Amino acid sequence: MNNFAEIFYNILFHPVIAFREFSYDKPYKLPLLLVFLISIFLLLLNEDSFSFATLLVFFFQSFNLIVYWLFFAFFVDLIAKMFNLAGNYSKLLTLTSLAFIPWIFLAPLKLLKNASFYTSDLAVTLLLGVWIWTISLQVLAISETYNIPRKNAIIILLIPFLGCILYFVWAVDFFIKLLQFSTL
Amino acid sequence: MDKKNLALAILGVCIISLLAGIFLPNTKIGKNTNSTPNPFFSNIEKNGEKIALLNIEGVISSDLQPNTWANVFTTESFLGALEKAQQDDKVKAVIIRINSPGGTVAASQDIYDALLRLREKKPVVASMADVAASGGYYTASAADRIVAQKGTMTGSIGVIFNFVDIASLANKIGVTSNVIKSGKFKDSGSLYRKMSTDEKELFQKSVNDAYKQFIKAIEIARVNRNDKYTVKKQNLSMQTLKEYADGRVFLGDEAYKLGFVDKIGSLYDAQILASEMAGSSGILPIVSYTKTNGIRSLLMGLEGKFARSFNEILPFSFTHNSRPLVIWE
Repeated sequence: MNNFAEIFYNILFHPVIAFREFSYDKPYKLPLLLVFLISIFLLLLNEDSFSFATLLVFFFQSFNLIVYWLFFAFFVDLIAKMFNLAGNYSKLLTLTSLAFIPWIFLAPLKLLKNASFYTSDLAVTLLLGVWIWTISLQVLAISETYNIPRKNAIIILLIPFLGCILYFVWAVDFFIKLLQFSTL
Repeated sequence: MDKKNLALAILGVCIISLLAGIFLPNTKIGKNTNSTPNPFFSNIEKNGEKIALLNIEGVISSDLQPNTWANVFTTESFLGALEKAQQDDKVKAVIIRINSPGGTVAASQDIYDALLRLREKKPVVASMADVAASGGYYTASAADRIVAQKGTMTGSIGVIFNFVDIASLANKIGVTSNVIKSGKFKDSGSLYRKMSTDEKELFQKSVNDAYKQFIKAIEIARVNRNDKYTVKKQNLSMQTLKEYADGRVFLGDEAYKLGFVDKIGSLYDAQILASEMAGSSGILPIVSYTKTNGIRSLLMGLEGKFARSFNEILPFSFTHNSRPLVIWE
């Protein structure tokens, strides 16, 4: 328990130390469990009613975040390989899973918001803060995995997003042209 | 506090927050119940009870072709959504938001019948927007209560059958039509010749019959309305109905005085009314059952910019001239 508390503390407040000292001898078990638990945690936050059926749905929906996490790590590793960066995929999976931990703060934030403890604007700001915290940990995870400066890690992280935006613009443009053509 | 204890305390606060949100019956303080409910914990004390909102927007028609890209309301999509709302036990009342000048007779009757069946199980409130005339009123009359704004254009109770005669034009450009038919009425309503007296009488009879069906529908749903709800209603007499069912349109204010609608108010007033009729102590949240979302909504939004088809410019009775219509145009 002491070891767990120390890891948890370090991830939140000393992530560099946490990421460097973390053991990777069991690369898949802990990350997978962690992402699964956070996924359940997020689903509980957004559900409006509960029953046995919804719990079953939870179980299957929780795999969404796992799939997202695996794909995210896969794309980052793919891009890193394109730049001939040396790194361990298992290590990347572990570190990126740890980077999800700040999401647990959504629970107290939303509870206080629901109790009208603060305004919607402040709520958005705080949620944005949690999101930036998570992204920062993802950058740090990439930086530590491939031993690259953090600005380079940011570029690697941005490439899939920029690609998605470009692809989205292209797709919208394509469908607009298709609709124009169909209504001639 | 050392860092281990601090870490455990943080984790504990997060988990307790989650459990508190799930199990505490009411964590809201001064929350505006009229706002869209936050899905996070907010519905637990109501066990997800809600009001289904279904929109009737534009011309009421079963047509999917050739008006896929035009602003024509489809009965099938509406009835599908209505069925979902009926099956959902958490839906305690249904609001039909109508902004329609009417449409085809059969499509209006489909919706009317479905609403009559629904109101035997759940309270149904019709909320009128800008226009709820003719077929729009036909469908609204099936609701337990009708809420309209003072400026809502309603009425237009009647049936129209529009025939286009292009015989003179066809003659000028040298177009003739050769018809081989099995009976004298088989090509009734043809574009290429003038309508005979017999045909006029035949179509007039259809219009009169459809008009009688319209009046009968309002009589069943509103004049003879005898429901269990204690909320105030306006009585519509058969005499008033017959007097005002001559195709004229009137504003919501007058409709209220005459008994065609039960209350003057907005969608919010309809929400309060529906919650009351559902026996809820508070105001139930509204959930849309006909709203398109995701990629379909995106594409439908985009097409609106590009698909101003010729059909949209013409009156509906001109493009749908082979059937009786309950429409105001």
